Amino acid sequence: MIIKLFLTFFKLGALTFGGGYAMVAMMEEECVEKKNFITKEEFLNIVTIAESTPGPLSVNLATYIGHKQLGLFGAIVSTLGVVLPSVFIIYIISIFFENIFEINIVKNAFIGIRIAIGIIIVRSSLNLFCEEYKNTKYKIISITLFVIYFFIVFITEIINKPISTVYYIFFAFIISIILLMVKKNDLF
Amino acid sequence: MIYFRLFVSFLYVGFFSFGGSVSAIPLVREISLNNKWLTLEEFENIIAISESTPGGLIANLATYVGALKAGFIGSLIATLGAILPAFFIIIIVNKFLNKVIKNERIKYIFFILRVCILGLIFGIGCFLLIDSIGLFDYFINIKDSILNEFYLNNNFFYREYVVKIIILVLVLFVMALYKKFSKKPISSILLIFISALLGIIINMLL
Repeated sequence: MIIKLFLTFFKLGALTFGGGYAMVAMMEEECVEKKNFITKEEFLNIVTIAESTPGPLSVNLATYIGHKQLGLFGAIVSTLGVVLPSVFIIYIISIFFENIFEINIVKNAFIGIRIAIGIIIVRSSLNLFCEEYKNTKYKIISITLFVIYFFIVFITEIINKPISTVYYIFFAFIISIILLMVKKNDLF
Repeated sequence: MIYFRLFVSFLYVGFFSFGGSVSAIPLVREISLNNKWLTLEEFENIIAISESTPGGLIANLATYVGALKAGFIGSLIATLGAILPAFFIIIIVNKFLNKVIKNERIKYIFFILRVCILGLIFGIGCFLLIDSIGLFDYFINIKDSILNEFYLNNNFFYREYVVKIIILVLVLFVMALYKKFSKKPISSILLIFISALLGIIINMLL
């Protein structure tokens, strides 16, 4: 079990290029669907929390899932697993390949990888939202908020004035409180 | 002593980087420049490398700076410092979460948070995808060349974008093919490998 935990996160840690959200997608595939370490809903909840807490998203997720499986020891194993591959890779790069992106093959591979990352993030977030939409009775509010957040994020990124994620989360929290106070029937 | 300095500095980064890499970058810049560890140019190179290599940006930055300043042990110590605060915070959160989440209201709050965050992630994904084909740069270039009334060398100008669009189309094609033959969608990890390969091949052919 320990080995399974370590290897799963080692694999994830070694292969998640493009950081955060691609990592979320891959972690969901591995931990929820393949290995059943955690349910999808719990996974999404912890992603939400991990966005607000300090530290790398990948580490937060790994720590949580490892802790859930095997307590403190599990947390240590999964966290080390997810962090170690990149430590080795970066260390080697720092010695030998300061200009790794001037090697044509590497540069070209990353052109492809960047495209894949975009696809992965789009695919994963859309799938997860469709699941939320299916499972909830609050259809209108869920799709409204999803679309609003999508547009605001997309536009602010295009015009190059991104807003920190923390503000998005805080605002969503405020919205949820307001909705809680305002809702009478089960419309939202 | 450098090890202690690295550890404490990245403890600071790890503790205050709420919301991930967006807040981490200024913090790392702050400690790198204050400690005179990096020049601005070195810092920017490190950001580029850390964003492209596996692993989270924060941990990668710590590893890189630690490696540059104090070898392998330095990279381990810096990385440890960067992730320790998050580690303990999450463990504490886990202890509370399961008790707190039974409440209907809390469940609702988390539901709202989830759909918002998914919208956010979807937005970022769309942006990254379009950016990865170079569409935004393409329009900026067009705008610039019209404003400045010069015409860039056509072949060179378009090749980059054509290559990327071809790669995208092929990747999507491979995804559809895979799903057709194995009934399941392609795994992300496999998708990355295939896209990397296509990136190399298409650039070689064109």
